[in-house]
Amino acid sequence: MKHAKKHILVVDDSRSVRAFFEDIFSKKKDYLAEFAASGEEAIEIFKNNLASGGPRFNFVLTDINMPGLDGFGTIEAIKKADPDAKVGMITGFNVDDYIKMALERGVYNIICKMDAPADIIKTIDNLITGSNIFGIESHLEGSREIKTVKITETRMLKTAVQEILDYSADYLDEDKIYGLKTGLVEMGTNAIYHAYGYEKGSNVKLKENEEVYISYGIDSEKLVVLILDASGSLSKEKVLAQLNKGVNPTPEDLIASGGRGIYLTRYLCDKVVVNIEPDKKTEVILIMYFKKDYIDGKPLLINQI
Amino acid sequence: MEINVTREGATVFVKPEEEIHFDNYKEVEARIVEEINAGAKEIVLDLTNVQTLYSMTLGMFNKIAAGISEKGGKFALMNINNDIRKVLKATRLDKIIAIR
Repeated sequence: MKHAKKHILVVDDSRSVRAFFEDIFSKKKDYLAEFAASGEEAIEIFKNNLASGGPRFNFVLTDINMPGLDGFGTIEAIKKADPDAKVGMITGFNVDDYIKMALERGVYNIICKMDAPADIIKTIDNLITGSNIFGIESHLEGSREIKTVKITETRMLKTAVQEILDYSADYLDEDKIYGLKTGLVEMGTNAIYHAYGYEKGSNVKLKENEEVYISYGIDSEKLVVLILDASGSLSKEKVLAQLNKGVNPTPEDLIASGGRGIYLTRYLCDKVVVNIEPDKKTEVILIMYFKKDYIDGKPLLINQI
Repeated sequence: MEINVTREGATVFVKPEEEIHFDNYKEVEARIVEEINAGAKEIVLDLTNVQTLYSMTLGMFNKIAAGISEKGGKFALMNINNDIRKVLKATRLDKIIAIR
């Protein structure tokens, strides 16, 4: 059976960036890419495509900073034309500069141009297919061994964190180990305490239906850890709002007693992905690269199906 | 958790003897609140034995700073390592919590 190609529209005012994506997608046989040099041109192409009745665009990827209509305006116009359109943004600048605007305009995915082409394709692939976003496997390449620990009480989290840190010691430097430790504790405690409504500060034994799992594994270039809770109580709006409080804190946010966990995790880990299936599960994926840093170019990857 | 408390005039030095974690940070908070209620005008939290700062610890700092400030007192940290300094800077708490 012949599978339909993934039809994608890439919007960027830079000729060299369009050429970069043309090169990437021309090598992917399952993709059919079209290109626009401005938001206005993208909207015209998108609307013409809708009117033609031909294969619809599966995804629109737009630059943020463009002369005329910017990426946010482009996405709004495309969503107005087709509310079901799947969209994402890409930037060569610091994603944190756009967090507030992303929150105000309801954008949850901003990819970095400096990401490896394979990572960009994988992110787009996951956003198109939706259900593939879950699981640690989609973040690991090639042969790998994945270990999973079930956490049934808080004291087990400490043991699991230490086990993962020991496992990582051969691959990550001290700074990354510190970042990983912080991320594991922050997201692990969120999964145990916040997801199931317990108060931090004491040892908690989870009930049978309150499941928390931590999975981890490596491939040739990175360590990936997935923290899963089966409550699905988080929402993409809440995650982005918490990140915004960390990036753009108000005086009230600065003196608040909570809400910094996800911001700190994203700050200290190379890459963080949050996947949510409401009322069913939340996954937080922490990625630490062995050799490269993402200090100024961390993507925003929050997915909710 | 063992918490060492020493006094120099109106200043109280509080030193946890182990890492502050998600299951024991309230013990540190309770000990400090006890000192504030007993009239301490300045609390200095000595982080010699603390390698990692988590968000709940940061939240605790803010609660303590607000509590002692209401009574006209001050809160400060001392003996912080570079990782902790980095976290305080990232969260901008270095601007509102004194570091000795």
